[in-house]
Amino acid sequence: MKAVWRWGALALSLVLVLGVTSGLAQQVKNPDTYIEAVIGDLETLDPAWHYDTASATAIFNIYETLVFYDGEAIDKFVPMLAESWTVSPDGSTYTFKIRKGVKFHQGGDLTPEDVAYSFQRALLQDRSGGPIHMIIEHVLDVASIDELAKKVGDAQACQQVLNAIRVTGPDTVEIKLASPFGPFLQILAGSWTSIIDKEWAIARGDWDGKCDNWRKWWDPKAEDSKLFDVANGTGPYKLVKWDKGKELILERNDAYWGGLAKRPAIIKNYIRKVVPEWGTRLAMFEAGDADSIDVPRPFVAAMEPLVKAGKARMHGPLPGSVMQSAFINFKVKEGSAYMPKLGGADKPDLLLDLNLRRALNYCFDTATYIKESWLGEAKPINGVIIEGRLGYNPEQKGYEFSLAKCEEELKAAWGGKLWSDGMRLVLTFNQGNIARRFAAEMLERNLEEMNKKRAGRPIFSVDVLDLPWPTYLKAMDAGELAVFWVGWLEDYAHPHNWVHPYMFRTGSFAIGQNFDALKDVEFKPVYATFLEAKKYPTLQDLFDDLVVKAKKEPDQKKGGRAEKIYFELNRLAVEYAINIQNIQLQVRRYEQVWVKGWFYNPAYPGTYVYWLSKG
Amino acid sequence: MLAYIIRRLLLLPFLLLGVTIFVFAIFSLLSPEMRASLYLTDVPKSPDAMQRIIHKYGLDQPIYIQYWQWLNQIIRGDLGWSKTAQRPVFEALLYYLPATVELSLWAMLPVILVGIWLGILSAVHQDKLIDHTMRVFALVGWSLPTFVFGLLMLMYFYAKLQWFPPGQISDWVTREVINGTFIRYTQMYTIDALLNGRLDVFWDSLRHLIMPVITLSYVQWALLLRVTRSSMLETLRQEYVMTARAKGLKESVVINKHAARNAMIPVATMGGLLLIGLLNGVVITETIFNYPGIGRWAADAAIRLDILSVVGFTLFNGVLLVVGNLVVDLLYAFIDPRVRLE
Amino acid sequence: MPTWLRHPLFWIYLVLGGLFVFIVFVARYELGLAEEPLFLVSTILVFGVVTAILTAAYRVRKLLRNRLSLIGIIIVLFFSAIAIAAPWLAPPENPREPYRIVRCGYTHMPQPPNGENPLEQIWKVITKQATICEARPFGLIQSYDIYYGIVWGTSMAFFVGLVITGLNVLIGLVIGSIGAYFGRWIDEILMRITDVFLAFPFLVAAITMAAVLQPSLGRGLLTAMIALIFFGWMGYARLIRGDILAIKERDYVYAAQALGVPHHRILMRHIIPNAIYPTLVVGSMDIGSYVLSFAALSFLGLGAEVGFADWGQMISFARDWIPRLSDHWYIVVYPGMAILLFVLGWNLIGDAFRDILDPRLKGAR
Repeated sequence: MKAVWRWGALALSLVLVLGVTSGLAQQVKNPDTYIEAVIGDLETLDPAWHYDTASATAIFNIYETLVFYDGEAIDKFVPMLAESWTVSPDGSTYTFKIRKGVKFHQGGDLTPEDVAYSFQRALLQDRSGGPIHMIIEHVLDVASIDELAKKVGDAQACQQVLNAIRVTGPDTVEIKLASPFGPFLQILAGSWTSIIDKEWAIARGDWDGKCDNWRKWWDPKAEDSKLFDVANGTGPYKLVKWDKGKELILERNDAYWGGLAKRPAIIKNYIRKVVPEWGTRLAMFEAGDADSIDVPRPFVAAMEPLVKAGKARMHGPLPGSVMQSAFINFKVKEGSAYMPKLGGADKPDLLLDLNLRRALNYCFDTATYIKESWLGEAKPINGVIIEGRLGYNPEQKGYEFSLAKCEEELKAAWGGKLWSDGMRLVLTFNQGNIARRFAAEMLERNLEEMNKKRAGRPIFSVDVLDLPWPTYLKAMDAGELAVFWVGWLEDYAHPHNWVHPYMFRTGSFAIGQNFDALKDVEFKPVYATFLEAKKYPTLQDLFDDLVVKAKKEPDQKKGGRAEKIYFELNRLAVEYAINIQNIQLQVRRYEQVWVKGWFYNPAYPGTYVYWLSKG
Repeated sequence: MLAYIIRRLLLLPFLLLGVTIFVFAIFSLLSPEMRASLYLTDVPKSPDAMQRIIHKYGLDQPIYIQYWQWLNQIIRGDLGWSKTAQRPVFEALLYYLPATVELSLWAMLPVILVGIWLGILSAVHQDKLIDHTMRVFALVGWSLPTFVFGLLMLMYFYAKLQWFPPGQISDWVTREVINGTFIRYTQMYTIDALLNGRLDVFWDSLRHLIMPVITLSYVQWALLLRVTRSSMLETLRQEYVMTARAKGLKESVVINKHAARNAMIPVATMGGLLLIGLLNGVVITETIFNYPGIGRWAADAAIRLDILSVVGFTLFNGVLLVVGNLVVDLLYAFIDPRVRLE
Repeated sequence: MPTWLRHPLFWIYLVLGGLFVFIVFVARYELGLAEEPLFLVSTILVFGVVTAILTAAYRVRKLLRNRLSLIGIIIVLFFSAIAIAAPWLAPPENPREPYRIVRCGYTHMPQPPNGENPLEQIWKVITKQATICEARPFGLIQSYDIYYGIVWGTSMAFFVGLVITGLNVLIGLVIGSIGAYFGRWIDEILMRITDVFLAFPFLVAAITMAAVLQPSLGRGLLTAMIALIFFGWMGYARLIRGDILAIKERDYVYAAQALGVPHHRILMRHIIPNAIYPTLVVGSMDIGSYVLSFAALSFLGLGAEVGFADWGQMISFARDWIPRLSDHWYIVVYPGMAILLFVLGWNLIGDAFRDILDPRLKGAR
C-alpha cells in the first residue's frame, strides 16, 4: 500500500509543477508573428495549378498579379505589377505597362517577358480541373488547350497562345481576347494569374518557352509541377517553409517594392497551421496561440461568449460569395439508383412538370430554415445571381412558403395523376453537410405532410439520402440525381460566373439538370426588350443564347443592356423553377482583439497579411 | 534458431504481396469516378474535368493493370505519391514515423512500468480493496472510448487550465529548427533536445506529449495489468516461492527477487499484442490531439480513398508486425529456457 | 410434481418466453413496429442475451457471488430492459422508422434538457403527458433528441455487438476448424490468408474497408458492420485451430475415423462441440470491445447513417462542442455514460468469466 502513495504523490507533484510553470501565459502572444489555425492544407504553390482557397491564400501573399482589388471594392482595380493599362475601343485587346524596379524574392528583375511567360505557361499547362479554363474560355474561345490542339494541332495551338499574349514593347505586354469580355480584369486580379520569374522557372525545369514540346509540361499532376512546393514571387511575403499537412511559414520580404501602401508588410512572420479538429482550434484561440481561426458555420455560437467578454472580435455578418441551392433535374438518367416514381412506376422525367417543381418551392420554408439553420445569416435569392453583383434584381419575386399553394400545385401536377397515384422522390446532398441535411429534411417533412390532406394510405414518399462525396460527384456528373443540394463559390465577382454554372449547357450544375428535356420554349422578353421574342427548341437553347449574349454585351454597366439580360435570366430561373430557393450565405470572421487592419473583400480568399498588424 | 529466423523472414515477401493484392482488390470496388474524387475538392468547374482526371491518373484501367504498374514502380523503389501527405509515400512514412515512434516509446514506458507494477500490486493483495480498485480502474479504462477520454482531457488541461497544448511542438522551436539553431538529428524532439543539450525544448516537447501519452496508455494498462496479475498469482503459488517464504525471507524480497522475475515471462509475450494495440490507438489519439503521426495520416488516407498511401502504410505495417513478432519470439526463447524455436 | 417443474430455470424461461410473445404481439398490432425488421431481430437477440446470462448465472454460481460480476450482470440486464421497453420509454414518431432519432427543429445548436429532473420528464413521456420534443429529458444535439437516441441506441448496441461477434466467431470457426482438421496444405493456405488479414491493424483496416464500401453501399449499419467483420475473425480462427489440433489426437476421434465416419460428421459431432467453448467465451468477452470499435468508426464518420440511433454517432455530434462542455455537458455525459456502462457491464462479466475459466488460477480463490 505504501508504494502506491509514494508513487502517487510523486506523480501529483509532477503535474503541479508542470501546471505552475506553464500556466504563466502572457497577454499578446508572439507580437511579430501572425498565426492562423485552419481546417485544411494547401494543394500546391504553383499559381497556375491551384484552384482551392487555401493555396490561393498562400499565393496571394507571396506572388502578385497585374492588377488588384481596390480596398473593399470588387469591381474597381488598382495597378499592382502593371503600372497602367489600356483597353482597345472594341474591348478585346488589353495592353499593360509593366512596373519597373520590382525584384523577385530570389533576386531576378521583373520584365515584360516574365509577365507574358506566366500567362503562356498557365494556358499551356491547363491542368484538368484547374482554374485556367476561365482564361482559355475568353482568350482562345475553347474549353481547354487540349481541345484546341486536337482541332488545329499541337504546334498551332501553342502558337495561338503565344500570339494572344505577347510582349509588344520594352515595358508592355498585350493580351488579346477572342471576343470582348468586359469583366476580364476580374479574372486577372485572381491569384491564378500571378506573375512568376521566367528564368527561375526554366532553371527549375519548367516549360522552356518554346512550342516544340509543350506537351511535356501539359496537365501535370500536382507533384509533377516544377513549382509544386517552391515559390519565388514579388509579393510582401516570401516562403520560408511549407511543411505539408502541418504548416506554412512565410516571412516578410524586406526588399519589397512597396505595394499598395508604399511600405513593406508590418507583421514579420505568418504561420498558417493546419488543425482539422475544431475543438483544438478553439482551444488555441482561447489560449492566444492563434490570431484567427476557421470557425465552421454551425459553431459560431461557441465564439459568442468570447466576443461578449471582449476576448475576440467579430466581423460580420458580411455578404458572402457562396450560394447554396437545391438543383432540380428535369430528366434523371435511365437506370439511376435515385429514380423518381409516379404512381409506383419509374418516371425519369417526373420533375419535368412545372407544377411539381413549383410545389417543391412552395413547400420549402425558407424563413424558418434561415432562422434556425443559419441563425438568420443568409439571404434568399430569387434567381441565380447573388446580391451585390451586376444583374441582381431586388424586384424579382420568388415563391413564398405556403403549404396551401404547395397542395394546389401538387393537385395540378401531371394533370392530377400525381395527386391520385402518388410519387417517390429522393433528395440528396453530400455526407457531413449538416445545413443541407436540414434543408432536405425540412422539404421531406413538408411534402409528407401532404399525405394528411388526402384520405387513405400515404402516397407521397420522400427519402433523404446523404451520399459520400465520391458517389455524389459521380452521380451528379452523370445526371443521376433528381434533387441535389450544392453550394457555389464564385471565382470572380461577375454574374457570368453565376449564370454559367447554373444555366449554361456545360455549366457545373446545369450539366446534371438536363434542361434539354423541356422542348418548345417560348421566350418573351420583359426586361431586355431589345431582344426579339422567339421560340427555342429547348429550354437549354434559350438559356445558352441569353448567357452568351449577356457575356458578349459590351455595355456591362449598371442599368446597361447586359444587366437587362441578366434580369431575364433570373426571371426565367424563377419562372421555370430550376432550383429550390437559392440562399446567399453570409460570413463572419473572428480574430483576437489585438489584430488590426483587417477588412472584408469577398474576392480575397483567406487572409492578406500585408494590411495586418498586432498589438 | 537461425533457420527459424530465416524461414520467418522468407515468408515476409509473400505476406506483403498478399496484403497489397488485397488492398488493390478492395479498391477495385470503386468506380473510376469515385476514385477521381480524391483529386477534386469541389464540384468540377470545367465540363471535361472529371474525364480528364480519370484519364490522367489512369483510373479507367482495369485494376490488375494498375496493380502491375504499381508493382513495376515498386521494383524501381518508388512507392508512388501520397496525395494525402503531399509527398512521396516512402518519404511520408519516414516523415510521420519518428513522431509516432516517439509517442509510442513514451506511452510504452508508463504502460509497462505502471501496468506491471499495478498488476503485481493487485496480485499480492488479491481480493483486497486495492485489488478491486485496480481492476475496476483497469476495466473502466478498457470500457471508456478513447475519443471521449481524449476530448475530455483536451477540454480540461488545455482549454480550461492551459497546461498542456495539443500538437507536437511550440512555434518557437519550429522557428529555431528553421534558423538552424536547433538541429534535428533523429526527428524525435525529446531525444533531439537532449542531444542539443536543450532542456527548454525537451520540456516543451514533453508538455505536448503528456496528454496523448496518457490517453494512449490508459487502455493498454488494463491489458497488461490483467496478464501480470494472473501470471503473478500463478507464480506466487509455486513451490519455490513457498520455500522462500518458509525460509523466513522478507515478503518484499520474495516478491521482487523470486516471484516477479519469473512472472514476467508470459508478460514478455504481450509485446506483440501491445504493439498492435498501440498502432490501433494512435489513429484516434493522433486525430484528437492533432499530433502529426503515422496513424492520423493512415486514417486520413483511408477516408479520402488514397490507395497509394493506404498500400504504403499497409506494407510498413506488415513488415513491422512480422519483425516485431519475430523479436518477441526470440525474446521469449531467450528469457525462458524451456522454449525452443524450430 | 415432475422435477423439471421445480427447476428455477424452467420458470425463468417460461416468463421470458411469455414476455417475448407479448412484446412481439404488442409491437405488431398495437404499435405498428412490425414493418421494422431490425426491431424484431434485436428483440430476439436481447432475449437471447438475457436467457444466456440467467442460465450462466444459475449454472456458475461464482458469477453471482463475485461482487464485480454481479454488478456487470445487473448492468447488462438493465440495458436489456431498456432495449425491450424502448417503444414505451420513447414512443417513435413514425412507427415505420423507430430507429430514426426524433428531430425537434432545424438548428445545430445543442438545446439544454427541459426541467431540472430528467426522470420527471421521462415519466411524462412514458405516460404520454408530453411528446418527446416537449419533454426533452436529456436535451437536444443537432436538433436530435438525446434521450430518444440513447433509448433506441441500446437495442442497436446489442444488435451491433452480438451480430458482429457472432459472425466473427462463425467465420473463425469455419476457417479454423477446416484448417486444423484437414491440416497440411489446406491448413498452410488458410493460415497464410489469416496472416495476411492479421497484417492490417484492426482499426485502420476497418476504416479503409468502411471508406471503400461507403460509396457503393452508402453510409450505414451494414457498411460499418461488414468492415468490422471482415477484419475481426482471425483471432477466433487461430484459437479454435489450436484447440482442435489438441482434440484431433484424442482416441475417440481416431476411433471414429477408423470406423469410416465421414469427415464433416466427425468435425460437427465429435470435434467442434468439444473444442468450441474457449472460443465462445472469448467471443462473448469481446462484445463490449466491438461496440467500442463500432463507436470509433461512427466517431470518424464511417458508422451508422446520420440521425440513426447510435451512441457513437451521438458522441461524434458532441465532438465539436467539447470546448463548451461546461455549458453543454448533457451532449456528452448521457451518451458517454451509456456507452461506458454498457461496455463496462460486458467487461465485468467477461473478466469474471476469465478468472473462473483460467486453469492457472484454479485453487487460488
